[in-house]
Amino acid sequence: MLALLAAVLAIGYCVFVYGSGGSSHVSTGPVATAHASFENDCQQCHLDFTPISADALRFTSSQALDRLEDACQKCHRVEHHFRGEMNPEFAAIDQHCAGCHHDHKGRDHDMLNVSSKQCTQCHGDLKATCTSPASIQVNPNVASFTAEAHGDFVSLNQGDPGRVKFDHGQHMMPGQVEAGFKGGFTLEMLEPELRNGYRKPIDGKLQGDDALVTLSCANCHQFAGTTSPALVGDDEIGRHIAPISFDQHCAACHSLNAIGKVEGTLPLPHAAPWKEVETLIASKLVGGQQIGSIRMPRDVVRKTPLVGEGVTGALESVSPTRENVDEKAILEASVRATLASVAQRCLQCHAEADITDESIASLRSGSSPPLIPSRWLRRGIYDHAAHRKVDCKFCHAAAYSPTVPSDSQTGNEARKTTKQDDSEIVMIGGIETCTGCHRDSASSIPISFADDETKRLLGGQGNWASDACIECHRYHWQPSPMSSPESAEQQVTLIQDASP
Amino acid sequence: MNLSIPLTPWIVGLAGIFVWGHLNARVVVANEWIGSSSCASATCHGGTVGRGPAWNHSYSLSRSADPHSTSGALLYDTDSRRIVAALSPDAKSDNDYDIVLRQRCISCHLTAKPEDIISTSRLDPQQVGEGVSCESCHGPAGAWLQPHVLESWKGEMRFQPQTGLLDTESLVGRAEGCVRCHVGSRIADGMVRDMNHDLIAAGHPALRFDLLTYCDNMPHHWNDFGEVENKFSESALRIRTVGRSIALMAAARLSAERALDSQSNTSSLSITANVPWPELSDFDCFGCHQSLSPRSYRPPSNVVGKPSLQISDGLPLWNAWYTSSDVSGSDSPLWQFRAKPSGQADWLTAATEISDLLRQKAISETTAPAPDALKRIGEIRANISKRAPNDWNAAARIYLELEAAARDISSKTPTRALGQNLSRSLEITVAPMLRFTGSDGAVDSRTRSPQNFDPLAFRIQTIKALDTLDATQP
Repeated sequence: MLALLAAVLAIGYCVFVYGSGGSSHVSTGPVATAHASFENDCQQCHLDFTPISADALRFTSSQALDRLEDACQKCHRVEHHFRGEMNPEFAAIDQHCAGCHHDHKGRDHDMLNVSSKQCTQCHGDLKATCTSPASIQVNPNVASFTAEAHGDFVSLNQGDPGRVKFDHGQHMMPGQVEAGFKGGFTLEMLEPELRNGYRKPIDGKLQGDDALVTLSCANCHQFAGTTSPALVGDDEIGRHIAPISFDQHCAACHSLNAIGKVEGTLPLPHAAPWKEVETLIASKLVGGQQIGSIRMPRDVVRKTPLVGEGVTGALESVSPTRENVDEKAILEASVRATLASVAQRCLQCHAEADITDESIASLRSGSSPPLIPSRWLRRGIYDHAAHRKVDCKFCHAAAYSPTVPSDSQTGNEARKTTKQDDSEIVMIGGIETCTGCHRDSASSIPISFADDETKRLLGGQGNWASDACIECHRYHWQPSPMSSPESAEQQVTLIQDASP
Repeated sequence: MNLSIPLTPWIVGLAGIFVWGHLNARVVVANEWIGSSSCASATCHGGTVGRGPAWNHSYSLSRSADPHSTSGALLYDTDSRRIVAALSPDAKSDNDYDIVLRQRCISCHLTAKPEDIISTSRLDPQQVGEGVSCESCHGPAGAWLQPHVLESWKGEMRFQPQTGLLDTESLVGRAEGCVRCHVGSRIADGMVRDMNHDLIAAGHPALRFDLLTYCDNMPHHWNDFGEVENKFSESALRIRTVGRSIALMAAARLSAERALDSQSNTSSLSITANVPWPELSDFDCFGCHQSLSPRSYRPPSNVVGKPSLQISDGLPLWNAWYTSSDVSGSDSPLWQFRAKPSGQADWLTAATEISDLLRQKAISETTAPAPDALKRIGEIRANISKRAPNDWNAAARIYLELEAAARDISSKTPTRALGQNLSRSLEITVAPMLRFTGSDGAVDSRTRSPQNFDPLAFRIQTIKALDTLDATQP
């Protein structure tokens, strides 16, 4: 009797399974390549007879989902997505990986390619999703990637948090001087070993040492990332721009030689504690005097003797020996003067509050935000390598004055404005710089793309790209050095700079 | 005021002082002092010495090698402490020491402002450490810092009073910049820079300015081969002559300012108070500071005619370093400058006239064709053949003129060998005759005098040196 009952149940189950959806209720297909080793070991992820598919609710249990979740998190440790602020219904979706990442879709299926629908189910009406609608800090109704539906980037509304005074326009001038100004910076003013890094080809020939230093964006903004395969590809080289480093990007022209820069003198370290700077200045003064590169009071440097007094024509002192010199008082005065000179130079780029020992220590420890943010898109990411054909000016027009040649051009065209500090300007393009290409496949090419200048700036890049949310956004924010809004990488660079 | 003093000389003198004061004080009123740190950026004037154009490392060179940059620091060395102790024996504390420095020294030894002089606080070590920095010679940069980087910033307009930029490009302008300290002034920039007898007696070397020598010895933080310097390198003789005229002009003005301040009724705390008259540093040191022993009493030979004024007669010449050869009789305008216990008003009038004349003369010399060096050597040779120099100062002036002429001859290819030979002869045989140390072997500058200088021997050696010209000429 029991055997008969078992047979009936088995036949009934088969009828249910195949009759209501086919084999997918048993196995919906091969798992992705990354999970192929579990292909024949269902219990790694599943409980017996407890399907997790949404259309098998009759048999779904929280235990089944938890089993799967545990299995995922054995390898994938990711942050939740504001789960604490979600209503329970949405919190349950956030809790379970399979809600967005569907497996059993074949070996080549990209489980990370999450449909925008998965995002808009919440972001289409965030107020309904969240427990505290008043605390929502982003556009609560994003249904698609258009200026109207998505809104502009948060950074553009909040301003640049950077605190380093800088004039992009001036630095883009040949010689870093504006039209009508003299004193352009030439290659011969750089350390010989650094010149080639700034030498540009002109008409097929490299510039000579007397040429004006002409910077391009890439002189300071360089691709960062790792060449090794990353679990999450956001840190691949080119995905990000490396943080600005004084030693790497500024020191060639702005080296801190405070005591009369003579050949062979070592510059002072950047962002070092003031006591350390003071000690170094004192030792440089004494050392320079010892080797004769820095003059001491009463050192005789006359090449033409004065007529008359003294055997040599030098104005000999009462006791013309080193003992006559109050070395300590003189050194103290010289050190103080030099320190003040160094501080003055610091203030060319930094605010007074940022050059105190406390501020420097705070920056070195990473306990305060970097002076130059490593990212300006606060919630999205941008892949510079993928856009490498596009001229920088297309998105960063604010870094160029109206008459400055764009990065891919040559020439001496220069702006007519005076020097300015542009550190408060967020120099990224608005959403309109993206939506021309990243648009619904059914929409037409923007009219502006017919403009010759736009074509030139786009550099032959294709004129359509996906508008899926995951092109720019990540659901599981991780504290990765490159993707965190306040990058620890910046602190690392700063510390490296500060090490003598 | 003593009513017996004629009014006209006073009016002229006071008017002159007013004009000088107005012109010289302009920078204080019109402009803000910025400090040399703003010049020191590696992209401006703080580049590597020897690399790139001279302007890019002008600050670096000054800071590392120019005596001006250490002129503040040496205020704390032993010599300076001795001078301050002699000036103000009661200044024992560090604060009192600095007050003496403020009142007597920093107007020349630092880039100072009038308010720095009257302050009673300790000196700022930063200011001391910078010494005489950029703005001392180039003027306070408040008004010219921004425009000086413009292509359009050129020509004479840069040196208009309202810009505050001092003229270092013309010979007269450069000399006038130097003499504010290297000769002195009691009004320029609203400060007193007066190397008076008290300071010299306390141990500070007496000032004997020579523009050419000082330009030689200053590390050149400018382009030696640029348009500006070409004017300078055209003629060493001209530099020496113009420099001397401007230095004497400044000396005349300083004398006049001393005369005026000696009449001042200001309080004893004022820097214009207690100015003695006559001020002895106006006169030749060696007129008085000479041994009275028979060995050193060496009147020049009267074989070729004794001049009417000479130090050996015990009459101290006014600014002998600049004037010794020119005071040959009572018809000389310099004759009026004789040490008198009163007569400040006459002094003011004479100083006004002579300083104006000297400045005009200097300007004329800069626009005239370069002096003919060989011709000048011929004139000197003719003069010295007739008569030995009056005194050490006159001999020094002869030497300096010949030395400059020899440079000019050397600078021209056809006469290069001629000039080089003369330079060598002057350096080896004539210059040592002008050297002097202390009478007792000590090196204290206060005891130094050319007591053993022999005008006749100088004359013989100089003529011998000039004979090398004949020997060298083809």
